[in-house]
Amino acid sequence: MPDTLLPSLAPRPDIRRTPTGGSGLVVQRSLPLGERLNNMSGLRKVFLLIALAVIWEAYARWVDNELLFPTFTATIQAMLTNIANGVLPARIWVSLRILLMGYGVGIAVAAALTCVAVGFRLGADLLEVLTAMFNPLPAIALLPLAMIWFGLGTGSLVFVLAHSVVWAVALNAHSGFLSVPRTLRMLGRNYNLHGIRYIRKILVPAAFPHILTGLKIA
Amino acid sequence: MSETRKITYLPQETLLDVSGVTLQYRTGQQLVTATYRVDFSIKSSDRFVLLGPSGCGKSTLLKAVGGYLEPVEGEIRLRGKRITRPGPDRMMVFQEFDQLLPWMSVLGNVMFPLVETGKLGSSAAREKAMEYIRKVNLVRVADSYPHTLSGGMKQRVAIARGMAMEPDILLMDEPFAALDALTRRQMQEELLQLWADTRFTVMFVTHSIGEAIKIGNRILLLSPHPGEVVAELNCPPPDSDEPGWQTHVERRINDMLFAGADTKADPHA
Repeated sequence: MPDTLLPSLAPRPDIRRTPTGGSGLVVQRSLPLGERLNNMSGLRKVFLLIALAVIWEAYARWVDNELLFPTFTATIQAMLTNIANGVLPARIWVSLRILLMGYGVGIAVAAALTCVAVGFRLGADLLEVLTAMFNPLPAIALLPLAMIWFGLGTGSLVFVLAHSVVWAVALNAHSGFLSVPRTLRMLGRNYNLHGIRYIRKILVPAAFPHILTGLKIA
Repeated sequence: MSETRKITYLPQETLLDVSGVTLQYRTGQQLVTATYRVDFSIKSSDRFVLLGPSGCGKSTLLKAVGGYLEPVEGEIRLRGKRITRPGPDRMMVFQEFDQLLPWMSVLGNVMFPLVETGKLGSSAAREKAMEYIRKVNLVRVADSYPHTLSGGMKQRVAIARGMAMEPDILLMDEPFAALDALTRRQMQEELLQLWADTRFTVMFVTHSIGEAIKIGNRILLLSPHPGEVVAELNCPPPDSDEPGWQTHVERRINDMLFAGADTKADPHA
């Protein structure tokens, strides 16, 4: 049987060097202008918007039908005149007000629900059951019911909007609270924080990204 | 004192008294007994180390002193008062880096408990916080946010936050275990330096024999499953004249902890 040859470790002299601090070499420099502009995502998006507007304009001119497909320039012009004579801002305000009201009501209900869910285990179960039941329900499906309950005015609209806000916000806030690290929870108790103060000072800031996602989806 | 070089010992009062404490906790389906009838007492200005292999209930014991866990048997008294719940007179320093509030700067983090417990007004709290940030050499990053700091710096902030409250006792749960070896050694030195400055009382949990010998003046050895007291040792001061005493103590502890089992020494030691 042939011998296996294992490498032996002969001692080698130590090496000592003094760092020069990269003398003569440029350690850090800014990139060329073109590369820097290309790295700005805002600029790239502006370029895309211009390209889309050009395609729109070109297609509309080719179709040449003002009623069916107005050109880009005509649309912008109509928007500007309506803003100037105050029709558009007034109508935007009406829509926005209803949206904000629905949003506000939804957030208030969601906040109350999640506070209860944090405080009691049964509250958490209640929130989970309610979300599972109502979250998949499309808001539009509730509109006929809401119209019967609240009439044709803003009431039913606010109800439908609030309905679509509550579950998204409550679900995200609750899962955010659940994912707050155990260490931070222990910390809060170490500092004698209880109830609403504990929620406000520890849980809400710690779960803020989740809550923000909920608000965004809503 | 200076001419004779004789050390005068100021009398130490008993601060924390743990007597016959049995701790149990539930994990889903099981009831685990973490410690069984543990007795010890910590005197003021002690650097009291709980040492033992994993599963000896040392962290659970620390949490019980912190008030997060009620003993099923025995009692824990701080200055004669029975501990029933967490409180700012026992500040915790955890192992995890996420113990800092990520939405607050270093200064904000150190100020937070001072203000929230109503101990100090906001300007007095700022001053006190800066004083302790200076003590841990973090003035340069006082306005930075935790995610920009290294692990060692985060732990220093947590220590400053604990110390700024000037609690009766500082509870440290393996605070250096998640650090790299070089940083860990540096942090141990700094902790001893801080102790030399202010003589605070600290209860320190570790699983490293080397760290226990370096940090502690009193070491409590616990056996695993369930944790029972094996020994309580006095550790000579770091400037002990006899050379090589650390190795001696280390071997002794190793023998006591692993009596019978031929387990290798802890790699962290």
